[in-house]
Amino acid sequence: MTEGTGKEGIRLSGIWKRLGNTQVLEDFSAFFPAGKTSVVMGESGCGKTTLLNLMMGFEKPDRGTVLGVPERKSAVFQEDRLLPAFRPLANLRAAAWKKLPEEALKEELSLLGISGEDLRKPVSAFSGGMKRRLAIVRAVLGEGDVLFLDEPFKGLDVGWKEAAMEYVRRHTRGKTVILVTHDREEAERMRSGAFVRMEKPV
Amino acid sequence: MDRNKKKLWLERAVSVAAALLLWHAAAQAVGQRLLLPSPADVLIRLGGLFLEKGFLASAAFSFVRIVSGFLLGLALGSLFAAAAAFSRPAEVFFWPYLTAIKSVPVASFIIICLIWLDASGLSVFISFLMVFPVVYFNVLEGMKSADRKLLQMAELFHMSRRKKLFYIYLPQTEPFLLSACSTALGVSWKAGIAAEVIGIPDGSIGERLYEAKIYLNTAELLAWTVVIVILSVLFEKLFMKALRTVLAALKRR
Repeated sequence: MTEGTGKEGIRLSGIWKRLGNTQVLEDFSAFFPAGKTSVVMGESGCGKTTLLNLMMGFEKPDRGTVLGVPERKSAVFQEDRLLPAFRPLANLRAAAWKKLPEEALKEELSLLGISGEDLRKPVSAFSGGMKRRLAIVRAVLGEGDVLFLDEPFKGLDVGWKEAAMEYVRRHTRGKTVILVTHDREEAERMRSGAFVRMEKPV
Repeated sequence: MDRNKKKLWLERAVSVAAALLLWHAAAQAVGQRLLLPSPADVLIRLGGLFLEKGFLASAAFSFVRIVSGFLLGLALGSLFAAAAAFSRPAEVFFWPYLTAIKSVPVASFIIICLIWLDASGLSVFISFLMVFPVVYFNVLEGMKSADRKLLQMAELFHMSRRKKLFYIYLPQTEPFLLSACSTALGVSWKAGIAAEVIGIPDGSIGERLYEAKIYLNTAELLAWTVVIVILSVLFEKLFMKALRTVLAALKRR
């Protein structure tokens, strides 16, 4: 069961989820407070992305409930999921709730180093790091009441990682953010809400 | 022009020259212009056709009708495919009609249409019927192959159906649409002219082909065939270039 009010936060209770032959989540419960940045950590394959998919509504739990997920959501996915044939501005326009002026979009992109010639290239011509930065801007401008960030800073070099973390922090104050990461330092710096450590079911 | 393109053009020119030589040799061997005129005979007749008063009118008559049928088939085929891609009941509903259109021989359609329609509109309808299923099935396949993860992203960001069509389905369907158009263009000309030869609408290329056959004027028949090939190839080149340009411009927005 997945429902949304979003006032207090997102609550997962007694979640069971099997994908193929693998039991990914077993009686999993957690609470992510509204208006805070919560962090989910755990080793690879422990079900972090499945957990996000359940909250984003892409998967249904076999058992258990997901409550309090707001209607308006935004995300940085693990695989970027950008529109490869289109330019960066079109990628932002496609995901934006309201029509933003072109200059404002360019300004946002320039904060993460996408400017000038980059704006005339299709995203398929971007490097991995540029795609990641564009995905971050898209998620932030997506104006969701909740942001799901699945390893958003992975693959960014030190300078851009710093800038991207600052960008996300500045734009998400007072919003519900759920950050999945492997990086303990990143987790400590971004977290203002819950910390959830996930383990593989035995 | 890069070297590979130059080489390709040269190879093609040599193969066309060889085919013309072979044709010329065969015409000499047969020795009867009535059965097999030489390329030179056909070329002379073609020159004569260009100077004839009714040439442009006949070419325009068939061109406008066949191209209209093609464009109609392209528009409706794409529209129906989009409807089927978004709605499974619509796809199931369309299936028997599309399968019938695809499987029934074109000659049967031509004869049925001659009972229903005026001969002057026949080539529009037949060209449409041949193009419609080709476009429908290709575009539907393209839309069904749309990246599931991008569609999930679109759902999450609450993209409207119009945005999904434009940003996700259109780029995904583009190669399928281009391939469908390339195939359908050839088919529309072949079927459209065949319909005209059977229906013999006044002032069409089909009528001129039919007359050439009646009077055993093989050189004229082949000259008109060359005209059809030129019109068909020219339109295909222009249309495909225009379509590619429009699609590229849409993505640059």
